[in-house]
Amino acid sequence: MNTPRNLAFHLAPSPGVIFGCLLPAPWLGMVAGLLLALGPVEGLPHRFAPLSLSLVHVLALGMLLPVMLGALFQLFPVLAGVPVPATRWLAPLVAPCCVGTAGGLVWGFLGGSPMGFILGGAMATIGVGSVVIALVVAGWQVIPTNASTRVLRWIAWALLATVLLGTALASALAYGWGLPLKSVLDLHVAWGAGGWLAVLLAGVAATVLPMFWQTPKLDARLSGLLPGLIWLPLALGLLELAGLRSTWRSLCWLGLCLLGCLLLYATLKAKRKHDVAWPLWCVAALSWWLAAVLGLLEGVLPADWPIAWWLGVLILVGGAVLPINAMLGKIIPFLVWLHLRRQLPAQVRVPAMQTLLPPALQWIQVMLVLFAWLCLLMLPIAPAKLALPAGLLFAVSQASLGALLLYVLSRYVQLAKT
Amino acid sequence: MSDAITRLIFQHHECDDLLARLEAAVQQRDLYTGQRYFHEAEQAMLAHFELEETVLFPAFESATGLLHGPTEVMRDEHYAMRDLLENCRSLLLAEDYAALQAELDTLFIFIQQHNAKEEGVLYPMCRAHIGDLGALLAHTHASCTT
Repeated sequence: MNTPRNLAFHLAPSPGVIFGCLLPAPWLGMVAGLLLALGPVEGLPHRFAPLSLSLVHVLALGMLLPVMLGALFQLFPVLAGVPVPATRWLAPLVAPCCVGTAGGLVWGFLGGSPMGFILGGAMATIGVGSVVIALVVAGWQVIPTNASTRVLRWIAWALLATVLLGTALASALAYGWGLPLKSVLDLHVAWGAGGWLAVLLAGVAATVLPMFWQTPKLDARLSGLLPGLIWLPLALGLLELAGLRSTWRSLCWLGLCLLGCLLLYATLKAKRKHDVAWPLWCVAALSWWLAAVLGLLEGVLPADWPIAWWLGVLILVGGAVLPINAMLGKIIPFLVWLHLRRQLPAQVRVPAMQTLLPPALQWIQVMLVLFAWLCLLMLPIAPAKLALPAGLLFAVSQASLGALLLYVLSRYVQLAKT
Repeated sequence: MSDAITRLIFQHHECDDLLARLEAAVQQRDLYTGQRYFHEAEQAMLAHFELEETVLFPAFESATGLLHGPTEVMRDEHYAMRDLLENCRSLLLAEDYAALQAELDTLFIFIQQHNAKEEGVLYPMCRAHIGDLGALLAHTHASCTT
């Protein structure tokens, strides 16, 4: 008989550790918005414009990656009863390493400096790589019982593939290494957006959507498809590096299309539609579905359509920033509430989460970020004119979330002193 | 998952459903329906806590020797939920709908994370360590429903 594992709070990292990963996120989102508003718009909305490449990496590495890693530090013990080794030492390094990597890459893309790529590649390999190793070790101990725990067991490998492929690209740009750049780039993007981002979000959504928004639970047969639905085509894609061609791109888009449909169905069936963050999940599901349809039809759509830009906005902003905004608005007040409950004397009534973060204020932030999503999608109509308002709007939406979360923390400090 | 555990999980879903109905009634400012669903949700939750605290947790503690492990965390969370239910009851009586909505939101989220831990970690551990779980819970389920 196995030794029983202990539960949740005894294993979960302290709120301070998690806050360190989560709280910088909106401010990095604000930086991405300001970069779009004030950066060099030449070449937009082309995917290889220096500003496009910089924005993708600030969002994906600076904003999203620390949140997702922070969430994993919390999810491993809570959902699977397995703590991530060395969380206490690794967690404080997550945000600086991710921001350092993104900063190096922006320096490389915008400044054309090989040093930027060397710095970015080194920080990704050492900093993010250390976290990946810890996640691989933790994942090995997870007993998969549902979609979420199955994803937890394997997810680190997708991040590892993304980091290795990205480091290879950075090295090629820094040292001029001869690599099959098109294949390596496609695989880096596919593992990052599909293998890591989409699969982790789907795994987390399978737990948090029924929990917080009372959506129907994912059917056991369908949940059994995760993460293989996306990872099998991606693994097939790796064979392309050895010169073996296949239809892995279309298979991957088909998998994402199915995930988008399931997510959309679940959000539309939610019983707690009155929650202010519910529209964010709806638009996120729609974004994943639209991105998959665009990806599938890319070959038959007019060549001058800005498909790559739309894919970037739909996947990174619609598919990731929106649900992460929704989750931050739930997790931070909840952790503060939990912490207050443990700190305040028994006779003191702990204020409700909605008292800590008033829904009326959160609603304004939700509307701002949804409007920013729409403006970003419309940017290709007139990039030079729309970059400033779209960037500013996105920056304001993220800064307002950051300010709201700081307000929650300030309430915590105030109340904890009473 | 054994039938006994499935039934415990089903009780979680029943409570979630009642709370969602209660939230909807509070949003509609429907005091009569709100009171009815609150009463049903409270009864269902308290009966479920009692079953766990008096039957399941002692059986787990005796089977594993873990007295200050997961069951202690779960008992503490039950205590917090009883507090939140008490707050909701006062706010419902005072017809303070805005505060009640906020309190229900906290209760709902707190319950969800509690259930996730029970269903994901504690129940599978109970299934693995308590030999006659089905018979143990079947007896008490029968007495709970009477």
